[in-house]
Amino acid sequence: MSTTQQQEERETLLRHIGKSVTRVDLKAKMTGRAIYGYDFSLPHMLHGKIKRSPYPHARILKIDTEAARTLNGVRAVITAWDVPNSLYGVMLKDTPMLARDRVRYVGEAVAAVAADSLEIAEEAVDLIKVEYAPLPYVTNVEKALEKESVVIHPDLPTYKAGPPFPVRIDPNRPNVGNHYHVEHGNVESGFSEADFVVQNRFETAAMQHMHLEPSCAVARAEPDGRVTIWSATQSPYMIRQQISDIFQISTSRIRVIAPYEGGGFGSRLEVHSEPVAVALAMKSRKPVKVALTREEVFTSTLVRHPFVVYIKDGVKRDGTIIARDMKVILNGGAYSGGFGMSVCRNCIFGAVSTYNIANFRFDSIRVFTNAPPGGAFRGYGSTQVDWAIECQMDCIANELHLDKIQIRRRNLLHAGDRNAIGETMKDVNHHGVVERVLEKLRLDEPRQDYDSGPWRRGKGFALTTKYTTAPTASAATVRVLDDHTVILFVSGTEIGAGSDTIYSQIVAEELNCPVESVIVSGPDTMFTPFDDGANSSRRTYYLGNACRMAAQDARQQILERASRALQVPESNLMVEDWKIVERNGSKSIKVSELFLKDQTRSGAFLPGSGDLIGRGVWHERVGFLDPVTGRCTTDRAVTYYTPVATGVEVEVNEETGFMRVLNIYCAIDVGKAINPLSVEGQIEGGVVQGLGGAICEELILQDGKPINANLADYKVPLSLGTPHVQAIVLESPEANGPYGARGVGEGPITGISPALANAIVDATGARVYDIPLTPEKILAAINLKAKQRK
Amino acid sequence: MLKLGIAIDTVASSRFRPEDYVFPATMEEAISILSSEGEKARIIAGGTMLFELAERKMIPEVKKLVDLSRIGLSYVASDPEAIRIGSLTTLSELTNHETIGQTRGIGALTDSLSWIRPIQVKNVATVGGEICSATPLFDLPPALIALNAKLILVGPNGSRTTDLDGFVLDYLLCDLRQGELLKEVVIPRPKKGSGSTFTKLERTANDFALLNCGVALELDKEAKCRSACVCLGGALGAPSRLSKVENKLVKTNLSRQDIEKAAEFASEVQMSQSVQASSAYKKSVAKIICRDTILSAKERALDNN
Amino acid sequence: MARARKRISLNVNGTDYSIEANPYDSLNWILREELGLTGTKRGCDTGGCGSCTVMVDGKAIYSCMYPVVKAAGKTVETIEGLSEEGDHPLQSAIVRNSALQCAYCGPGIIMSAKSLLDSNPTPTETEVREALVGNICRCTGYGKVVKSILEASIEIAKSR
Repeated sequence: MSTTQQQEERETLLRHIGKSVTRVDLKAKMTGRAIYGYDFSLPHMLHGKIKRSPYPHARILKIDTEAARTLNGVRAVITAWDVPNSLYGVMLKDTPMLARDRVRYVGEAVAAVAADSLEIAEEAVDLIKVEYAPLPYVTNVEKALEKESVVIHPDLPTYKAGPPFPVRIDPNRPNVGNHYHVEHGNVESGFSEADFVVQNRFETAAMQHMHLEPSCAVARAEPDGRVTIWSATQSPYMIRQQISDIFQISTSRIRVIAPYEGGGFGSRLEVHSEPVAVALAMKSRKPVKVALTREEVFTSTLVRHPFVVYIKDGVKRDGTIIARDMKVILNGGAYSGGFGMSVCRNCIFGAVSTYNIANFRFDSIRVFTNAPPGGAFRGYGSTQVDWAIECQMDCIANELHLDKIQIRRRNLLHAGDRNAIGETMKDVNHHGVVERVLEKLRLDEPRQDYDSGPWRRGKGFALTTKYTTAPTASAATVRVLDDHTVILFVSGTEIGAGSDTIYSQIVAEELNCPVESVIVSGPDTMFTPFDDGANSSRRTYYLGNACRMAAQDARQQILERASRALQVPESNLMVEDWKIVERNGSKSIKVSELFLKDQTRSGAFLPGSGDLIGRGVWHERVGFLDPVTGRCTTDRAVTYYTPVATGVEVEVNEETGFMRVLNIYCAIDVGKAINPLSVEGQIEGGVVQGLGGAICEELILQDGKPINANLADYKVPLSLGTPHVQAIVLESPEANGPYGARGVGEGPITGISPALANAIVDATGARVYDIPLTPEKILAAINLKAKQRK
Repeated sequence: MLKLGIAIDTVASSRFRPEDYVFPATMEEAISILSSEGEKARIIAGGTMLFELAERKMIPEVKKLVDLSRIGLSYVASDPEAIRIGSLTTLSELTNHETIGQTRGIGALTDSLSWIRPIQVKNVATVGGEICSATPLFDLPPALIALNAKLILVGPNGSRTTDLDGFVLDYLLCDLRQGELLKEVVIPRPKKGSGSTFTKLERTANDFALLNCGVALELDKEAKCRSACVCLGGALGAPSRLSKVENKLVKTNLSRQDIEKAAEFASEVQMSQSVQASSAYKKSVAKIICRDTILSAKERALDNN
Repeated sequence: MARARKRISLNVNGTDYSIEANPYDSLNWILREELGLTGTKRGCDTGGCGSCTVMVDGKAIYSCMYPVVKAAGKTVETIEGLSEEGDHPLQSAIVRNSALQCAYCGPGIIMSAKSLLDSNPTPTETEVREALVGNICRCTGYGKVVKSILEASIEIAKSR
């Protein structure tokens, strides 16, 4: 039987997969009973508050905590001198928990207080006097790239780095923390063969994740030296590792428990207030809650890296791109931002996964500045390079008077092609997503424009590809109980993506039981097995596979035991709704009957093994990129690629630059929609978050300080003015995905910005080269275009 | 720069920690408390702006909050001359009041109320707060200034009436004197042949104004402009009337060309940069928003003949 | 510091409470920290996100910028008081449509929607979007939650 036939046969038999099963978490959330990280509290806990730097760059001369220490109700005050003198960071150990001798951005933590009430803690923090000697600072990334720039980390060469992300020290560019290079073909000869050269510079701004629940951690120092942390993190094991690194405690002695999370979008892969909470708990010997304010989330967690992208293309008359040279500069801010270093590498995957360009060069450089740290953000570097590339594709089409879709199709990577980093492309259904969006966008129809007045209509398109990173791993454990429930132990936080429901569907599918039989434990590193976290659109695939294997393992054990009990060969047995029944026979036994009860009937056990435990783990190994050529050491650098097409229709006011977004179509090939309603939700939400970054979101720095670190001044999309997003789901199965599924979380955010900018060009002829596409920039572009026409 | 402020704090005393919160029962009691406490007391109406400023540590040392919500200043009354709005009337109450919907010529007011969002704020924010908060980014003041609104202020020395135009002096500063409170906003009933409009430029549907504009026009029998009041907000520290624009409109036929010519002067006004936009951008769109607001007000005036 | 802590009574979800509060305590703080009603969320403290929305005397307000002393003698409704079993049509419609994701915005959205439907039982889509403009949802595109509120309005109208 062919794989396709097998697939089809399975599909018809699927009981829960592909069904829009009601989300398992939503009722608890809609009654207000669900406990999020911010809601969590312990009896007699203290409240912590952090003292932060008002300077973008300064030497700390003196910290006077005396007044704070003696304030009634204060239980602990800490500065860098009270905590281990260690630097932490997922990929580069450059970040102090509290600044010791120097602050590098406005909002950096300098000291902290734990007190009986939040009010007292706030007062105490105000009483801490810090003397600073301000230093020259730099927030402009291209200035920071210069040899003569202010140096942010004089000790950079001594910092430790994780093996896959070596620091690339460059004496001529002291603020460069990381540099990746890709060289494929011969770019110079490519340009010499070109009929046209198109080059542009694009930029993106600092966008903040703005997860609706502000970050919060509760920590308790246990009497035996262990530490327990409650944090709605995207990656409990990553938090555990960071705390272990900082405090030099063995990981097994740190327990991270994750309540529901009110959104993360990448920011909460990194520690926020957890280390300070732990240090305060250790010092005060009481549980401590450190809840950040919205302002602190804006200034002192992470932002999406602002990029400067230089792109130069050599193009043949027929539209073939024969050479492409890209230089990408990431404003990394003051620190590595947890995963910041890998954003610098992973943006490569965004640049090499859509088009087949024979001669290709790519440099990505992450630069330290005195801005808030850049870190992981949904889209993870792809969004920023896609912004440049998909604008550039339209620029080429316009310059050569070619069809915008044709030029994309002409240059597409196909199955079997080698991309610029040496990966052999699998079948990525770019054609499918393009077709489906074009059906809606109707570029062939005559333009529907206004006869008079300032408003102009336009349509825009973008084709993007989101990778899912590797190597990563996910493990799952299921415990089948005698009352016909199954507890699923996974370390995947329900951050909102619907993952608990997906896992429940998968486990119920494999055990052929109702979804309601499944209880998802919630992450607790003491009990739930390893998982790399909610990042890179990976969990449906990785954890989905692990859950499936764990459930299959449990099913197998059930069948083995039933086979012995019923004296029927396993192959003649099937499990259905907690009953094992003989195929074409009459024998049956309930799963509960496999268990024995003790004399008090207080519980049940399984003879021989006690518990009925099923285990599963999914791990994929891939190659690494050669630091000199950027070539992958094997034919695979990522887990899979997901194609996304985005189409938009807009109206632009030529007098004010204001834009109305009328329609958005987003098609994504998800392999298999395990829960179609959840998939639609992810697409709609991803697009609208992208819309925010595209049109209005920017954390603005003035004199090195964020000036709009609040929701009155930092604007995000609202119910009014946000168009209905039409989500289009395609299902070409991913060979190794659970039931063919791929992840969907990030793809939808990648194409919206360039689609909008292209639509503005379509409407007005004017192009904006940096997001957000504010009315001011749009109007400036329109005026510039008018001048050029004259 | 026009901004509600930034605010990583460095100043210890800036945290919002009033020691007392009182509800005077009468206007006299309120005035007596405000007079005796001086700078230490601060009026709280709906409280939305107060909390916003407090969070940004922009409230100077305040010891006592004086809540005016129980002194009977929540009303909308009308007589042949004017509409009288008690200063503690919430924006929702005002929006839903039948007098407001039925009065001709006050389109600028109803427009501005519909631009103010969200409902959670409108349900508590008051007319008095919109005025006395003295931010140039609010929507009600330019509309009321266009409608020639007067304020009745009462204080230890009795009551005085003043034009709203000129009451807001600068960013977060208005001419509310020691012990004084705003009792009532009086909108003279617009004459037949007048029309008014308010419009706003904003980044999202819930934003302070990038620029906003209130316009009231009165036409004579020949449909020539008898008087014009054009008020621009968001440009400087206080909403300001554009007298050059107004003068250019008066006595014209208000043809599109007349209006465009007059509106050009809106871009001559000095503008401050704000979080929303640069001063240069504001200048370039000021004439557009002015023109469109005047055009709309003219249409309404013609309908009111 | 000599602060006049005020003893005030308020009615939350039909239950009378007597609490002591500081002059600057918000209703949000008292609900969450004193009464343990954490269904009402806290997201920004400046009326910017809407997750703290509750109803006071039937009107939607931001509890984070509403001094609790103002609520004395008034009726407060929070998400916890909406239904015993979580089966209010607004709750059911959102659950049925998987209309929210992280759902931190959910309790506030539901209270805004309830306030709307109480005064306007048959809103248009635009009216629903207008009523939600003060409630940020960062996970969805608002489409499914608007649809859910419209469905709930029909359901409520039918049961009347």
